[in-house]
Amino acid sequence: MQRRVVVGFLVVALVAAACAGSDDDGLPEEAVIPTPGLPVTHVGADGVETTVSSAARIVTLSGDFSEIVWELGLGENLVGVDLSSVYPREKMRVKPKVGVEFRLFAEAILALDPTVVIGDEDAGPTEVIDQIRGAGVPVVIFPRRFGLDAPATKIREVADVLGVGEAGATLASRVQAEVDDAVALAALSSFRPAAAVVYIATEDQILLLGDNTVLQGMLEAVGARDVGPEAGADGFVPLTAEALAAGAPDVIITAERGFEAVGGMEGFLGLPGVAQTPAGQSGNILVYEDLYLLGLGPRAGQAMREVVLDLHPGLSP
Amino acid sequence: MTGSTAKRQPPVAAVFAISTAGLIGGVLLALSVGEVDISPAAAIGILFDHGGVDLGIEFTEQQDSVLWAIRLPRVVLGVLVGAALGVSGAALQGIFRNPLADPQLIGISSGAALGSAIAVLALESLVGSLAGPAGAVVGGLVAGIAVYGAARYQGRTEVVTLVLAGIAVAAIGGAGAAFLSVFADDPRLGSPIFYSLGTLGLATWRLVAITLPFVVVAIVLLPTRAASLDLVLLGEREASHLGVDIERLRLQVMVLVSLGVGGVVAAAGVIGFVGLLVPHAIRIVVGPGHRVLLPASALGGAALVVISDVVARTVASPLEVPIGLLTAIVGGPLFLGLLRKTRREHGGWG
Repeated sequence: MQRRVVVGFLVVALVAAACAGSDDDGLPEEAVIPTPGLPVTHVGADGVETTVSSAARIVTLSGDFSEIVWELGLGENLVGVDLSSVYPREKMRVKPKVGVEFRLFAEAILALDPTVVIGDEDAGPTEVIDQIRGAGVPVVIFPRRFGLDAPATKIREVADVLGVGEAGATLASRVQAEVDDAVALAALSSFRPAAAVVYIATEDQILLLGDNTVLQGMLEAVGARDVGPEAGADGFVPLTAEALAAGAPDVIITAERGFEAVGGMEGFLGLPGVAQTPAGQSGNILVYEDLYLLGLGPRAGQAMREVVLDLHPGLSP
Repeated sequence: MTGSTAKRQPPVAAVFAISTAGLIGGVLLALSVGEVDISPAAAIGILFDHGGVDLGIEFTEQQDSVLWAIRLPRVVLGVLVGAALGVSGAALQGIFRNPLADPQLIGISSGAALGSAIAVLALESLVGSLAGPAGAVVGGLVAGIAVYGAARYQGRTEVVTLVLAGIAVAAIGGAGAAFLSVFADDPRLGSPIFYSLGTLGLATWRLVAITLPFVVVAIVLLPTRAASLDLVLLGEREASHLGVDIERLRLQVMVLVSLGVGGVVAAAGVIGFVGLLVPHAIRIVVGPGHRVLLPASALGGAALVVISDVVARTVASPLEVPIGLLTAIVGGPLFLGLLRKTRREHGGWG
């Protein structure tokens, strides 16, 4: 449910995009990428056993899965994505949109005539998932994954149900190696700045990420001390000025979309509590693209490496 | 159902004909409109095909699955929701002798929302998916009785006091339900919008099956109170002189309304003003007699909800507008008009 909050603002922000997306009904009938490993039977995180017999027309219900499918080389088979799918930007922009992960509409998905729909436990409402299954379309629901091995695990899981296990294993080991490299790089520095991850869902919904979020353990891994849990944050919690000031982060990490929505650096520094932190006073605010920072997708290792270098200016790339 | 009455009064036959035509037209429209193209003919072909009759109309497997798994349960739920709200509004207006009575306006819907939310959180693991509607029925009944108790003063229930008490109870119920759905952050509860504006978007055959018994009891049994409700129209004292046990009748109506509205709210959230709009429109044509009004309101309510839902899911396609938003846009101005009319007739609110 955490991502429900995170992606919440997208409903408003991207309605226009959705309408535009739905207009081009000319579904590309390009060469379908072969998926030799099918059929596959998979028991999902919701306990439902699903048999996937074709990956010719894939619909993904969150941005990280869209990115994984793309990186697995199945981009042409992707016939619909949710509104959080923003990478690769130009490619995703032209894909038909099926709503936001937690506010899906069955018919928008079925209209794309998918052979398989993939999402994680945040996908819903569950009634809509039932409706899609009721129409005979397999929906694979993966568990929510956190931590350093989440990107590789997700890649392997997705690749297996799409019948491209071999490509998945290759991509997963590359991504895991990148993650491990980033962690090793961070270990070279003994500097441990106090860091907070702040996510701006809407202007009146500013969240501090604590334990039990996609970033669990990540800040430690990139060589920072996470002030979120110290400030009592469990999951995504509404940011209070006091909690942030009390955490006294040396650096604040945030995602691009919300950062721009509040008016960039000037607006961000004006948020309650930010000016009272060392990070706010020194302007030490690090901004990354949303899916890059929080998606735990194929770019996770690259993102971590970039964060490590930004946090530890003394390390040479 | 009221054939004899229909023969005596020409407008009555017209009202039933128009409502039925509206409902059938609305159902066909609802089955044909959506992201996937399905012509009305194909829709009929698919329906007959499921009944084992091949009409020779061609349709694709995708059209079949979309119609059967998505649109039809949604339309059936819409019929149930509309019929229950329409007949409930008509019965409440009769029993309280109050043109402003409506399941939402007098707090029953919000009480049902809160009852449903509590029951889902506390009881669903024990009693399964009947917890939602059952909790909603109890919540609606408690809210209805609370509103009635608060509005009753020295043996009289003032028209506006009932609505004011309803607003207070609705505020408590609505806030409680919204609070629970934010605070518990439980996928079973849906979003706060679900409880405040309603949607038919969650319809599955399973949900229809769970809702059906609650709603059918209300739709079938409320019209059996028609004769007594007609006597109440004459005045409470007159009705009791004629042998109507008013308090007993009131309780019966409130229990039946709570059953219907509870089933509706648990399945589709709070959809306002249907119980206000439809009975008033029908009364204009056929007058206040309940033997016609109650079944006609069920029919008209079903047509209104099914057609509103078509608008709700097409106006911003592929996103959906909550259906309660649409009924409120139409119903709000009507409510204001009724307020003015009622004030004139009662000579002020004093």
